[in-house]
Amino acid sequence: MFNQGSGPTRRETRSRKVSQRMAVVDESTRQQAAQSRLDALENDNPDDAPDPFGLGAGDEDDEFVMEESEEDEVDVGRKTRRRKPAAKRRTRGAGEGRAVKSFQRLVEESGMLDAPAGDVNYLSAAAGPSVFYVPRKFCSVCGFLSSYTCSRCGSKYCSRKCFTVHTETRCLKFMA
Amino acid sequence: MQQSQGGHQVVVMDNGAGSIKLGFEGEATPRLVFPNCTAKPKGERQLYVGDALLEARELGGMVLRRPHDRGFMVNYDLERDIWQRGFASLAAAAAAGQLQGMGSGPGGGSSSSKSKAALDCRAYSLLLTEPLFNFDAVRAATEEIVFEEFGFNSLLAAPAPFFSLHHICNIPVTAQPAPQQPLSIPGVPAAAGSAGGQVIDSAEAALATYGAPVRALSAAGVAALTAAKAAGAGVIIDAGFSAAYAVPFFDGQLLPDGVRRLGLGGKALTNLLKETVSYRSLNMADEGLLMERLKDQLCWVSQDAVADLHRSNPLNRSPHRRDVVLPDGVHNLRGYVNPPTAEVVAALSPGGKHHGIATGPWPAKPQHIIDVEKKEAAERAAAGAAEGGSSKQRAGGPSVSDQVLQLNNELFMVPEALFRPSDIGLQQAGMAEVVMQAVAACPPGLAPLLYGQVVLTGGCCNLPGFAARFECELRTMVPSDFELVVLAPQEPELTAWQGASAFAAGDNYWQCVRTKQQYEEQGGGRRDR
Repeated sequence: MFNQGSGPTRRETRSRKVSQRMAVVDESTRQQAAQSRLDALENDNPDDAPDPFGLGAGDEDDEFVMEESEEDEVDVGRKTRRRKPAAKRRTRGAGEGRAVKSFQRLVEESGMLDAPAGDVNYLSAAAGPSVFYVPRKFCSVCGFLSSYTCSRCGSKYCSRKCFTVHTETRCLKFMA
Repeated sequence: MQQSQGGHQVVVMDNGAGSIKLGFEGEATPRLVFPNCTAKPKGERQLYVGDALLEARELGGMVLRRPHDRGFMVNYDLERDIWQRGFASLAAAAAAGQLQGMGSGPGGGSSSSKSKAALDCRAYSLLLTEPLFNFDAVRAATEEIVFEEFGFNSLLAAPAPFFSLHHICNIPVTAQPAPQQPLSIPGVPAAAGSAGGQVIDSAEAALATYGAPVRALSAAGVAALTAAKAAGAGVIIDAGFSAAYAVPFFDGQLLPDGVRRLGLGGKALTNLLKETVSYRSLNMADEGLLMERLKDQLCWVSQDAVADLHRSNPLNRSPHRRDVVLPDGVHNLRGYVNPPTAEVVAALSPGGKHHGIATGPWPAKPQHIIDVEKKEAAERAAAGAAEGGSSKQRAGGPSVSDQVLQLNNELFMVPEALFRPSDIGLQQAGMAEVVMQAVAACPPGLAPLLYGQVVLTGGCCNLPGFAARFECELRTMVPSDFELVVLAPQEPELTAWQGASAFAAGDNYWQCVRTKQQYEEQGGGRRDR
């Protein structure tokens, strides 16, 4: 891009820096982001980690969650809420008897993940994808119908105004 | 135990992930309906547990903890606390009503659980609903809590759709205890089909129970409904807080193979509304309860989302726009909706084209706030007159400090996710198509019977326009040689409870329960061996 640097090494670092900011987010990352957004719909509180008590497997999709408001975490619990999940687990297990199992862990322990194909369980009852409808395209900013796609992250937008808002807000969050 | 004392013997609890419905057997409506969560205002020590939340003055800034995750109970201690308070309130409610076979509960309506007498659980049996495909670990923990901590004399736990089915079919259940059932869903007692049951097989009776069907029935529709009733067949939609299930049934029994689940429920919709609003206008991320209330009161299901979307643009002429005045924590504690602007009224009046959406009465500005504002305005006017300046403040006009949340296309695009989950990136079929998939998973010969009776239950069905949209969309998918009858009960969120209440009052209840003695002898854990 800008070939002002003298040595080849210098040019390399510079071009990588620029491209990281502009890099197109690949398909798997996009899907991961969409999935973590869907998972967030099951949270009770905005700051909930996927697995609040650090017991379950937990999906490690936190990179798309904005790190903020740690002070909120402190007064969520009852009396003693430590920052470290491990310490938290020990106090809870000793004091109150029954541990809180995450939903993920319940699924794993129930053995339905390795259940035979014909088995009827929670997972097998999930509805399949639609055959009647294709996904519609709505502007990720204002919600009206959109015709354009962000070339970097794949989100939809409908106008230049919305695109500006999008690049300044959500698009940035896709940076790992 | 069977006729131990006068009055009630069974506590009936529909333990939904969103709200608990609690009452006694044989009654038409539950005594208590309250959210199944605890809430703590940020920065305060106070904690609202379960039904205490109904008395909370403010809803803002609560940190919620729910014992359920995706419909399954995961936090047992939290649930126990909520139940404990709920049972105490039930005892108080019963004592306030009629003193019958009840541990005396003098204190009622106060906000602290300690002031209430506890329910004497040993005198009661507990009927509890659980999710479909409940985990063994959860069931074991539930039994442990019910028997060892509360000390109920017996327990029956079965999936909520089973009781909805009982309500729909009104078939007495056979004397088969739950543990011995070799069904794929453990804990589902089989209903007696043609043998023991007296089936309500007339379409008129069904319509009398549920009110009018979504679309006026043709003669063929009545025939289809009658046939489905006679065969005890149909599909139950359970669109609840955590997920929406389509549960086919035939011969008065649920068909576990055909159950299909759409992973969207009321909680996801609330969070979706919250996320959308927080991104577009005001940050409501911490206002879970407030958003839930707004969703319940203002959201509706569009019959044609794209057309409504065009109609709602631009914002200042949108007929769908609602201006919500958020609670300010002083006089306005619950929030209210401003009346539509003159512009919108003008846009609305010519064709009256509001698309026939009955969004209920908008929660208007409460009188006490108007009074306060009038008083303040009068004071200001007096002060202004004293200074000789001209006060332009109108009495009752919006104060400057009000925070107004403008809601427009969110109101119908959020519930739209139930019908087109792919719009929000969830690769699953919508509500109507889930029914198609459920029926397709059943023996093909049943299809005409199953489509003959589709019953909408669960809190999400309360959204205005839901039933009409559902019927319309499903009708276009179902082959035209099948009649489709969609029934929408008046109170879809209570259907399971009503069925459970009737079931507990029936004779067969006592043959299905698991007694405390059995529990103590056989232990908890897996019951199907």
